[in-house]
Amino acid sequence: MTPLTLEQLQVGLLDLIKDRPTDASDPYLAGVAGSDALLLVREISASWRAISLDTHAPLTTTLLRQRGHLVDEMVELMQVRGLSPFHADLRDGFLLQAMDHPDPIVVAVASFEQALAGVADGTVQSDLAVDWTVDPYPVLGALLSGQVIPDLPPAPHRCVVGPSVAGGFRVEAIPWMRRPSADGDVEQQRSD
Amino acid sequence: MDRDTVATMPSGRRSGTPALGTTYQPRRPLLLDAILPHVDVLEVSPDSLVEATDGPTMDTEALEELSCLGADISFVAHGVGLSMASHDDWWDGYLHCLDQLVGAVPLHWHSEHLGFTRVNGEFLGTMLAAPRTDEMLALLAGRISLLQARYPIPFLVENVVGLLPDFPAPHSQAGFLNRLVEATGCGLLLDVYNLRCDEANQGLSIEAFLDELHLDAVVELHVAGGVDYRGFTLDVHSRPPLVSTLELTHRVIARCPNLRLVTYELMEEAVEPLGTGAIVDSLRMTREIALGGSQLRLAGTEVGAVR
Repeated sequence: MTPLTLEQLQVGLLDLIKDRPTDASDPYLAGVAGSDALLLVREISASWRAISLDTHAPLTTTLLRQRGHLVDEMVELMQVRGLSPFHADLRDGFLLQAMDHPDPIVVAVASFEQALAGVADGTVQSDLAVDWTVDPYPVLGALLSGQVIPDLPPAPHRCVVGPSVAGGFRVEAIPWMRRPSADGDVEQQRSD
Repeated sequence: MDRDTVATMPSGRRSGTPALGTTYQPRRPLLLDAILPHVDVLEVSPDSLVEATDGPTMDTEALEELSCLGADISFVAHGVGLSMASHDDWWDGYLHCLDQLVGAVPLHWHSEHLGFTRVNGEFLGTMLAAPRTDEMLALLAGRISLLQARYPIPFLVENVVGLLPDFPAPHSQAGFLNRLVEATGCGLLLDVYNLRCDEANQGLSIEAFLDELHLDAVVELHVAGGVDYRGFTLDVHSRPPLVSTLELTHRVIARCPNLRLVTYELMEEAVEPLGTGAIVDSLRMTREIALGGSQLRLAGTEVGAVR
């Protein structure tokens, strides 16, 4: 068996840590692949990123943790090839990923948090609109106080986030319009 | 590292004793007020003050805070992200950050880990120890020479824990460090807690390691506390140091004739969970147990050349 070159060794370890296919014919890499230490290294790596995100994206991490999705999101994040060691990059990647979540409240919270972060670090220069399917205040209040988000009725709202908005953001209820339907009854329609 | 350079390094409050330092990341004024009466040196990680990869720069306010302290305290730099053992390239952004720090405060020396955090430019998510092969030795020697040419201050390399199974290699841990020192004249930063971790996880004989290592090259020691988890001892640097670690440090100090600094190392993320009081207590314990009693042995010791 030809000894691994430095490049082969390091690429093999990278692939193992990222849980990608690697050359199982090398006895050293095969040993690492079957070790408890590898699982631990992966866990430690994810936990450092989670600590960073708890600080830099606290609303979204709290929500995902409450709903039991944080581990899945972290596993997905850790396999991203462009994973960054830097807090702001990591936060942005995590929030962009969360904006694709099937839960519309997760999408709204992540979008809102990303917009706020952009205002804070100066990368957002104009106002941004973030639409919610529920009233954001009970959601944000629960997340900030560590409480479980209550069941909320559908109630479209829009958060406007931007450097020109006093306090960083404002919340607007999106009124329901009533219009006649084809059978003469009335239905509710969001006024976009 | 020559005699004159070593002679300008910080020293402790009693003649002949090493100085006491701790890690510090700016923007924590309450912590700073609490620790300054207890330490002689602040150890700053330039890359920990970087928020994003795009045009990595250190935070200007952080640099100003450090520069305002310059007259009252000594500084050393300790890198985390240079990734000097990557097979392809190290991370240049770290050097830009270090340039900024060097321009802002007087540094006695700078140091980095003998490990890699990037492969082919991709972040690993952790740091792995450099394999102790001849190929790696040659790579590191070349890179250390570049650092020595770029910065007019001493450069130290630090031992990294091995959590994954040890890669078969021709050099022992101490032997590898010795070869690097001989090839480059760099100094050593010996992390005593990392030795404890390697003892627990890899079966390292600390006594044999110390017997083999050229201890006259050791300029700085790190002490820290971590956690035991799933049968492993982890170098997470998140707890107060154990008394047993400080007692080991005391014994190591007595064997290192050119030692200048003992640094209590703490991860930034651990500052709030641990609390300022526990951090100050850790510094007191380090001074009392690790540095206490070293005065007689080190008093009057000539500061010799560190190879």
